[in-house]
Amino acid sequence: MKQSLIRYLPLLLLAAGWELAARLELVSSTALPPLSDVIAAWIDMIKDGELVSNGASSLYRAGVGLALSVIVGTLLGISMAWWKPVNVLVAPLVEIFYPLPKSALIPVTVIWLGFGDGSKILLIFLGCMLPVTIGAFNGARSSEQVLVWSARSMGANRLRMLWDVVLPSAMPELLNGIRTALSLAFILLVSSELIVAQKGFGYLIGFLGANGSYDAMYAVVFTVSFLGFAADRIYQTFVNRVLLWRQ
Amino acid sequence: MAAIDQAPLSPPALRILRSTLWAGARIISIVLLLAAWELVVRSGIVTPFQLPALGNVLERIWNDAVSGDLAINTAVTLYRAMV
Repeated sequence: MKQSLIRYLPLLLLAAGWELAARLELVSSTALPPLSDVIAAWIDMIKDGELVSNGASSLYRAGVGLALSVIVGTLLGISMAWWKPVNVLVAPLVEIFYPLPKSALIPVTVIWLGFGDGSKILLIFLGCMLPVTIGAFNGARSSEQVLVWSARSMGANRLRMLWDVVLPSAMPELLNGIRTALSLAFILLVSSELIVAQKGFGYLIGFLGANGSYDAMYAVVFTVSFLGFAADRIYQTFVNRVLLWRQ
Repeated sequence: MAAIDQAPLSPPALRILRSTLWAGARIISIVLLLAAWELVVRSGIVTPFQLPALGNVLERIWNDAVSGDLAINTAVTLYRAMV
């Protein structure tokens, strides 16, 4: 209890400082509404269902985009590491597209797939796929040669070696890549919804900000931050459990 | 045993040719991607609004480079990124 209190003390101090700064009007309430108003706005939005319905749309888009990127990225990365021709063909494309800011593709995905879910899912898929691909590729490439040779000498065929040796070796790097993709998914989700959407967290932030409901806007920003933080923590717990065999 | 000891090494010319071919193969995917882009546009599957022709895109880049717009916007973006 005492340890948790110490751990979260900076956050409590920040919250108290925020409330004081806003109440004493050290900063304009437009720029920074009091924290208590933000909490009240958050409760109102939960009660009227606005936050839940928009949140469901956002989480659906992020979930589908991320899931597709994990499946395709893993297959692509391991194929690149396992078959040289695939690496030769795909690596230049990965190298070219990796540094591209994926938010620059927002107008392109909207032109292709319209204002609905498709354009957001495509953007998240494109943005998240490359970190997963690179993670899977590096992980599979770093699999211990001794283990590969041992498996081969014991008569394992290529598919069996891939499943029993390469994939477990690739797991730590792959899971790291997925963690990067997870945070990217939230960034791309909110960016794309801010620019073109009729539903979702990003849309809500833009809409509330444009209408001057700054307390509600901050409430949505906090919700997204909290969900991102919670997703990362849950994922970390999952990773620790999956990689338990390494300890 | 002797045959193994004296296994013929690939001649240098062959090795150079092989590495050149692999290096050349690395740009195949980019060439294929650009060719596919041009083909899709010419086939009329997509409108120029959805995907403009590669030639038009390159022409636009050239025009922006000549007019100085590209340099100005690149400088502004790099300044923001660096600062």
